[in-house]
Amino acid sequence: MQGPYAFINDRSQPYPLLKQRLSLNPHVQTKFDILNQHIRNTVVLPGQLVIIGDSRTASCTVEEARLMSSAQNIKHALLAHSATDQFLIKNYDQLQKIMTYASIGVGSATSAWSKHLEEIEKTLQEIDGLHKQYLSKGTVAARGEFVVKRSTLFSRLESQLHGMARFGSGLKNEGSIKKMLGISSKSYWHHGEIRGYEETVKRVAKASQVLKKGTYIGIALDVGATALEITEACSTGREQACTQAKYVEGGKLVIGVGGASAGGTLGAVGGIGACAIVFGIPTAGAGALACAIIGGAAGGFALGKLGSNAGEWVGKVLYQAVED
Amino acid sequence: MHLEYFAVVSCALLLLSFPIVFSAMYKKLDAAERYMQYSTFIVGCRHTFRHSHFEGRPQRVFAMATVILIPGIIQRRGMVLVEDVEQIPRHLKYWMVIPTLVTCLSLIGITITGFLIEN
Repeated sequence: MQGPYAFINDRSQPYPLLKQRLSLNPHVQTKFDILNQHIRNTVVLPGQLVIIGDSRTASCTVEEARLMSSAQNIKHALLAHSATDQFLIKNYDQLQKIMTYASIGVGSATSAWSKHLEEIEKTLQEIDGLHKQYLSKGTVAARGEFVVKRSTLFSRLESQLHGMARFGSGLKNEGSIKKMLGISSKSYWHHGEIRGYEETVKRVAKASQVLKKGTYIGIALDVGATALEITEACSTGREQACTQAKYVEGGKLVIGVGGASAGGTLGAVGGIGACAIVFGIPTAGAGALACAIIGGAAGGFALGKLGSNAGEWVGKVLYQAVED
Repeated sequence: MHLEYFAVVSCALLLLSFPIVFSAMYKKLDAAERYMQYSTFIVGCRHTFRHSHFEGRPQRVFAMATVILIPGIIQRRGMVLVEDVEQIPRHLKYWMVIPTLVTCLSLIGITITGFLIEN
């Protein structure tokens, strides 16, 4: 292999083990250590870039220097957002899609991605057509043909849905990041693609962190606000106000968070269902995800707000009942 | 006075819905989904929600309930076959539908209460 190459580490492993797995020539090994100073003598975390030097020369080339700089940036982005766990890797495609809808990842969706989604939608439309055809005939003979065609279309759909993970990475490669990360050190990347990876990692690492923590931060803030309200009421010295605050603020928190959670879940399914039934949008693909996000966000927001109101009121009712 | 009862019952139903939904999603969902492996609605929802919390199981329970409750409407879009839905055993249907209805009723109650209080 001529020229420098790089690949992404797929799992947490000690640097010596990684080096051993690569089975490098003895004279390349010293250069490998120099090029990979960002991971040297550490546990190499998933997502980090590993550089294989140009075997033709012992000195560092400009391209290798560029790769080293990219590797440093990637390491920094991953560590800065604590995104080196499996969450980023497992959810890469989903995060990428969400970012696309949220306009954060503008330009990251490739034409291959759109084309792939179109193909899935086409298969779903064919299944739709097959159903209509069968339902209009409804004969026993038609049923046999229908069952065969249906299972063929579903096996195609299954392979396409599996394939969905292969696209959406925003990079001009043939495999998904999951796949690339999964196929170990045997896979090498040309440096042109590394720049894309570097940019994407920065964005995705940040987004994954926000998304992963978002729900918990929301709940933690609600709990914190409730605790503050109760503490404030109790610190004023009136026992009655303190007890009332416990009921009212407690009810507001429990029903608010519970309502938002249930509302968001139902809203997401409702969003997909409504889009599919009313507009005929396929239940898997870009349109469905957009509907799920809109439905989930609307349901969660509305029920969270109304739930807080209802919970507050129920808290008051319960307090009065207990006091009486 | 009636509104008070209504609000308390709605909130109690919401709290009750969580253990019921969790039981359904971990004990019965997989069995029920096996009858729906040729439904684009169920397959699509499973795929779309695969990275959500709890592998999207709460959403999948609600999707199954939707298919069981309104199969005719969904069949019109070719996303399910009524005869496939009819093959689901009755007890599995109840396991999918009851948690969903409990959640829906509680949310409707909370919505009504919330609006009435605001006004």
